[in-house]
Amino acid sequence: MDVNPYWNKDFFESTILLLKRAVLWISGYLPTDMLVEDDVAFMALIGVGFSCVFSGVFLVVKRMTLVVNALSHTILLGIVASALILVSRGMSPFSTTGFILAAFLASFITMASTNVLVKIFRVQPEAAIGFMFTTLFAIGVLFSTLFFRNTHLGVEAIFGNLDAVEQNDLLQIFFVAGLNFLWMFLFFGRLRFIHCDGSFAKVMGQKTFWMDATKFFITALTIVGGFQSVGVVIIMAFFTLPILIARLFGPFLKKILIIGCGVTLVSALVSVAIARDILTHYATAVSTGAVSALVLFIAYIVLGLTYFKKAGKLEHS
Amino acid sequence: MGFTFIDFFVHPVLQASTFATLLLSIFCSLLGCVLFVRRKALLAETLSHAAYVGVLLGLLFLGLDFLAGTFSSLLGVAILSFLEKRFRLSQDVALSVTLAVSLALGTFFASITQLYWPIAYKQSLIFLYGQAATMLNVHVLYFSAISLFAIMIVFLGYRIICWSSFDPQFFSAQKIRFRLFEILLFVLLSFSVVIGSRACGIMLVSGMMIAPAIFARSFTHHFGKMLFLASLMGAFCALIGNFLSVGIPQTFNVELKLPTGPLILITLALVTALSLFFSPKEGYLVRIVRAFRFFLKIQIENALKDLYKKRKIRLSMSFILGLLGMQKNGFLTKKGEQKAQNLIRLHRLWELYLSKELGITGSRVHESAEEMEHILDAKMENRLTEYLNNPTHDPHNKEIPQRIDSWM
Repeated sequence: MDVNPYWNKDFFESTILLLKRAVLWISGYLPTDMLVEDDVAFMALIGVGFSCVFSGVFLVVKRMTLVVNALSHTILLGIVASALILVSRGMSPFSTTGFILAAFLASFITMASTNVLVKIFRVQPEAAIGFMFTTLFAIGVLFSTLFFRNTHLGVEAIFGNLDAVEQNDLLQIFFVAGLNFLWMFLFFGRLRFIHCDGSFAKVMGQKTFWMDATKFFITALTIVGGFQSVGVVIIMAFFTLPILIARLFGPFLKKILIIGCGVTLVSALVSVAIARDILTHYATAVSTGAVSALVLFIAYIVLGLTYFKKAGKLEHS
Repeated sequence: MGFTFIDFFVHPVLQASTFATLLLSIFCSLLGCVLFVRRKALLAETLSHAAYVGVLLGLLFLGLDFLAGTFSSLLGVAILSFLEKRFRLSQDVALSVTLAVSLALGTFFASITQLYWPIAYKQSLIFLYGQAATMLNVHVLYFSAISLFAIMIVFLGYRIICWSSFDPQFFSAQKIRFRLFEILLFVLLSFSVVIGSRACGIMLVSGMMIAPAIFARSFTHHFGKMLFLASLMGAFCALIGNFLSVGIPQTFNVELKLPTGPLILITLALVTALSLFFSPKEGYLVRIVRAFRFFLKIQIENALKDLYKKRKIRLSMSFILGLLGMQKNGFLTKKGEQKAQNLIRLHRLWELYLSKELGITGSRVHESAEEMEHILDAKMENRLTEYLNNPTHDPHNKEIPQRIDSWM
């Protein structure tokens, strides 16, 4: 194994190198097992970010982003439960099956329990969400203590660890991104109809249940995909901020999707380079996922306050 | 070693944890109720996540984890209101952005701290998941101070909290000192979120606030009673959670440390779920029973009318009527006949009222009367009779049966 080509590179050098190597990899000149940590982190951020943009756009439009918050907590229970099921059948919990099962369980439990609380027991929606996900999270913590003797399963889940992501994990991340893309590609018209003109869709007899259910499932899948790399809380920034930035440019759904993906790409590039820069100059490894979230936030604030202040577009967004 | 009930209050190992979680639940419940009635239940979640970075930095530089945490969580409030006002974000988006970004900042510093100050990093992790078991008497002191303060604030400022929660527009036009009180409330909230995280973790502290409020709301609509009930229930569940965390491993004889925070929350959740089911005012069961009784009443009355008009009725209904003493051998008894006549009277009175006073005609008149005959009671019937001058015939020129006073 050679030394990391990013060794001792500063911000600009590593930015260019990242781009170069990404292009080389995509065009097939750079074999996958030659990818180093920085490349993998870059790819992972892009994959997770794209998935988040695709599944996040409707959540932001429908003001349902707190559902992501709820899901990101219940995912712990989903993972523990799926691990229990799979281990009891003698299968490995850390496979794609476990992955999908965890997402399915988490989204199903969250959706069902919140709906039951709101519709049958008539609890305020936000209180119902807050009550449900903290309880489910507590059950997840308890289970993981009881069955795996591990209270701190979640520390990594909260912080995320991009450096621990390996080439094989990239496959899962891109699988989720592909699924997200497929979902958006197949149902774009329908989703837009339901989300942008909900009452009309209802009058037209559009059934929203299956769209909602798949949306929950896809969102949960995205969170499980980003679970290891950026952590379950910071992923909320990836769900919201690219879309908020894109929305500054206008309220069109396709435009938001394209700009959101672009923003994700740029922020991934910049944040990996910043993390490398800090490592080079201060000999300190920082969490790339956190840097990425902070970069997105600063970009949003700066863009919103400077350029768009004059254009007066904030009023509409 | 075995522990008895008293040990939880006097044993040096358990004492601090018991008292601390007890006090914690009390002030969490009080503040949770305030958040709940303002429909801002998820604010606590964001505040607790925003506190983490402050806790970390406070541990690093000053050893003042609680104060720094409070400060950073107040900063979170500032970012939140900035996003909501300046960027016009809806509440949920602003909450999620603040939550994620502040925890990202925390993670950023945590990854640096982990390398250079591992002890401070380890200590900060306690706040992520909470450790009630390792709390000291100093913490109990903190907790009692804050809960006393919270009780005092809520008690003395009860009026102001009511105003600002239930009539924010009126409140915003009030004197400045009231708005200063509001700031004080936020400081209190931030501080209690931070020290709550020490016991239960930043993930769970918001649940500790919301669950008692939901519980209390299902019993009463009075804000003061709600506060009282919620804190009572919170304290009770804190005790149970503590017992369980020691008692379960003791009973099953296993070497295991069960985390107290999640157990308290699960107890709270169970009790809340039970209250949602069984609360006498708007519990699910009560609502179901009420709906079923109304359904049964309609069925019985319709069957009575059918029998009165010599139509066939279902076997099950004739059985029920027989039980009520209104039917014998397929004929109405005296009681049943009176009841049926009263129903017809109500039906025709209502038809007359609709067509004469409200000028409604057509099939709608009959349909409406079919529904109203089950709802009108004796008092309304009296008023209707007076209003219509004790009529004898309905709009279809059918006779209205005379009132029989002994009905019902």
